[in-house]
Amino acid sequence: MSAIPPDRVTAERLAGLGPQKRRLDPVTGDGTLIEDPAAEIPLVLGNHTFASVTSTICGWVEKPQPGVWLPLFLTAGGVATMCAVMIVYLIITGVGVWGLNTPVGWGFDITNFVFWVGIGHAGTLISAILCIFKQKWRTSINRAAEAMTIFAVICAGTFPGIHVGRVWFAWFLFPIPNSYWIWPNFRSPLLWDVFAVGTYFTVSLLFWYMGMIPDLATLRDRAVMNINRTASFVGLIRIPIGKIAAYFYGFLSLGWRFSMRGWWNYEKAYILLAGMSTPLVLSVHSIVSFDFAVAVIPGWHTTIFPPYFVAGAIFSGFAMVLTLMIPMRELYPGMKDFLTLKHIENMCKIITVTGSMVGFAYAMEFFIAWYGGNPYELKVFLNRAFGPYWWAYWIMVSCNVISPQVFWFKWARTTPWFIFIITIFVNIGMWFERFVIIVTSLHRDFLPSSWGMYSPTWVEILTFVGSFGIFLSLFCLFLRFLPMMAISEIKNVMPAAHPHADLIALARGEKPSRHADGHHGNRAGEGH
Amino acid sequence: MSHATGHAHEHHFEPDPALFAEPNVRAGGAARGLSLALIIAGLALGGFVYLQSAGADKPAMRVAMLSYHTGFLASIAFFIGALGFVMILHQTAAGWSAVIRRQFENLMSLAPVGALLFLPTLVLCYTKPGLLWKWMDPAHVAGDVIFQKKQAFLNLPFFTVRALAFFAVWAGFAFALRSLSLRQDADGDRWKTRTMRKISAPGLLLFALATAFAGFDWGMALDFHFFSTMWGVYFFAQSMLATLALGTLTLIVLRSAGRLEGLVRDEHFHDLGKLLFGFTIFWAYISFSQYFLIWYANIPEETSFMMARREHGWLSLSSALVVGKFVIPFLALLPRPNRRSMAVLPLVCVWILGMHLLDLFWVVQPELTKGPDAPGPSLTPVVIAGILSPLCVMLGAFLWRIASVPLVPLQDPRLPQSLTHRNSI
Repeated sequence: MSAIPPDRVTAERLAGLGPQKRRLDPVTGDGTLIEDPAAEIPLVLGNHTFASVTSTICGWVEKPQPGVWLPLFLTAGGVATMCAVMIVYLIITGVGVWGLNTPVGWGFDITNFVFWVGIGHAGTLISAILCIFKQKWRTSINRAAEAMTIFAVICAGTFPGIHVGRVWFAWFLFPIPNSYWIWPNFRSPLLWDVFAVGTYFTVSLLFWYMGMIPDLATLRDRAVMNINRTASFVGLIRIPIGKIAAYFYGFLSLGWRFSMRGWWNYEKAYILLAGMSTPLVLSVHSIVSFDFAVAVIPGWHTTIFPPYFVAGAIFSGFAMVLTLMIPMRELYPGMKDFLTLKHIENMCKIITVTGSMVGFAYAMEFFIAWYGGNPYELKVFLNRAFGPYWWAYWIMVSCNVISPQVFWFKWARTTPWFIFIITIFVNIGMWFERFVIIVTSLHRDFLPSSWGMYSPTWVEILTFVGSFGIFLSLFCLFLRFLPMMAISEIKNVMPAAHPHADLIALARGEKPSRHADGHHGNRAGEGH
Repeated sequence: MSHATGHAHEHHFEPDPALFAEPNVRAGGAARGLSLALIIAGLALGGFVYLQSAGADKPAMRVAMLSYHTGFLASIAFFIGALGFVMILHQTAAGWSAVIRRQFENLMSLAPVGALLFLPTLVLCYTKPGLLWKWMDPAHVAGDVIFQKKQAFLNLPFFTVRALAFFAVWAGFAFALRSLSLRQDADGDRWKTRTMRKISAPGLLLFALATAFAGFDWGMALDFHFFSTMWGVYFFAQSMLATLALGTLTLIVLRSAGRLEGLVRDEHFHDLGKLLFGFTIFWAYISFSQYFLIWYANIPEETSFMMARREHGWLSLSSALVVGKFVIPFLALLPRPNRRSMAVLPLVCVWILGMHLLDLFWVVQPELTKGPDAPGPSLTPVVIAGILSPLCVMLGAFLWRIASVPLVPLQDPRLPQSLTHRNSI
């Protein structure tokens, strides 16, 4: 009845032993895909010690970046600049440069907003909800996912700001006292959006930053050891990058000293922030869904919208996490030890679950549109599927509902390049979901005289493409300058973090100090 | 068990065989006695309702039927929620839950009992159409344009087929999962755990559809003009909360009866308390969203449902539900000591179960009181007996299940993980 370590499973398999040998499945992939329910699956591979974890993760920041980093960053930065140019063009010219018209008052702008807010859901879900559920595998992905969340929300926040037309009045979004005594409508979900997204951004940023403090202090300490390092700028000026790095990380680490009391406060703050972020994960997209669902527009008003939007947001967020992390683990040396195939498989399973939830919601909407007996509601749904925007609808269904079903097959959810392709489909599908909801519900008003079509102008398309530039260039900067995995949290899920790690090693017949290099107990976080 | 490993590491933990000794993992004969008493009481209450209303006029029969239906929905929620919960536990490979899973397996295996309890209702649908679901009464729906549009779905043959399909899905998956678990008790084949996980994946898909449409058929369609895409999720939320409350209460009662000593500990109750807390919020989130969107859009075909629950004395009950099913359990389950307390937690469970009854009473009963001269909520002996009758039968059958199998999965491969489970970080 005892739990069987994976090496014993392998040994049993090779020796043809075990109670049901014919059904022992082979250890595939990197060794984390063991199906045996009794096996402990390692979360960190490669015989890491605490010191080697620190040096590997810090190395991604301290050593030169992979060759593609600079071209990628320059491209992303160029695309982001294009976005800025498009926004300036919009502001100096007017909203007429977009394709919005009378029945279709929302187009790419709000589609992009909802799309990016949705992407921004995975990070906090991973760091807060999976923390509360004690899913230890989250430690390898939470930092990058949270960073991605923040950058996605930055992209999202851009669009409502610029879509108001007269950007210099954008402060009307906030209830700011003014001499005209003009207030936003407090009963409008558009105002709640401002609060919801604003709160989400603030809390996510705090959570991300607070979780990073011990790791920033590790980078600081390592920078101090190299404080005399300099670099030359085109052979002219010697830049004291050792000092700059030490000050930069020293400033950000807020005087963290790895003291017991510090860790104690840190743990408390972490769990409290996790608890406070959890309702936020649900509330943001629920309120975004209210933007549509409180209306009486057929296709927008339906009661399942809040949980349906939340499921879709998690779905798209995890897809984006995988889109980013699958190339990352190829590019950065040693990352596969922390981001194992099991991590990827777990995320694929979440994608399948949430994708199926989204499919369930599509089905419910369609069924109730018919069952409700409201001719306008039914017409909107038939128009979605078979009207002029039929292609958008079927892209949405095939990318969101059908494509993640391939993860029912183990090969599909453990083969990174294939998963990467599917996640791209999911990203596309989730963008089209918002497009379908917004445009197809608006473009045929109640009266046929108010029917119209919407197609984006080149300005809208380039602004949308440009938002990916903002997102990716920020993410590149994150990879370059910040610890992209939570060093201290990863150590916490290693066997060596167990208070009796030495005894366990003894009992297993291993050398006592194989994992533990002098550190015991919680959060041995300082570097060497 | 060597000394070093026994004390060194949870992963090498070998459970003490004494924990699995017969008296610790078997319910006593008293459970069987109580079970029979409950089933007989349920049947007697059902007989009382039948005798009181058989020869009565139509409104009185309707009161009896709606009350029975309230109790029926309240009792099937237990096995529906349990099935969902067990499948989620398998899917997430939840190691902590090995010692608590058996009681939920017992609960989910009651789907055939639910089918039996549905039988009288189904028979009455054919013999006295329109008594419970007004759309079944041809006279009532004559000339109803909205009804004609949904007739392809709302017709008696299809209704019957659907009911059979729901019970087939629930009973089928529950039987498959529970019998695998019981066979694992005997042979200790740890690969059965993997089989259960594999069954649960398609199981959850079919479960979601069956549960949503059962909610539509048996709850939402009581007012056949009303519709809400959220209804299936709402029914699921009700069921999960009810299951968790009953399962937790069962485990606490078993503990206080001297069973499961050293197996189910305050750490497990802590987690169950957290799940109760979480699903309390989930229920509030779902029902608030549903109410709020209907209220805000203010479209008459939807608001009719909410209006019926604001008028004729129902407003106080609707408000009581907000406070009783959300605010009070939320505040009671928020402090950590309460979730670990063997005094507070059972009280909260009983309270939530009471609120579960009130919630379904709120869903079903106002259908009776629609119209200008409608009476408000009332609790006559027939109403009480009607609600309690299916519940007693269901709980009696549950007790019988508890008495007939070991109280924990004896050879679950994740038992070591579950037995050493801790909440502290």
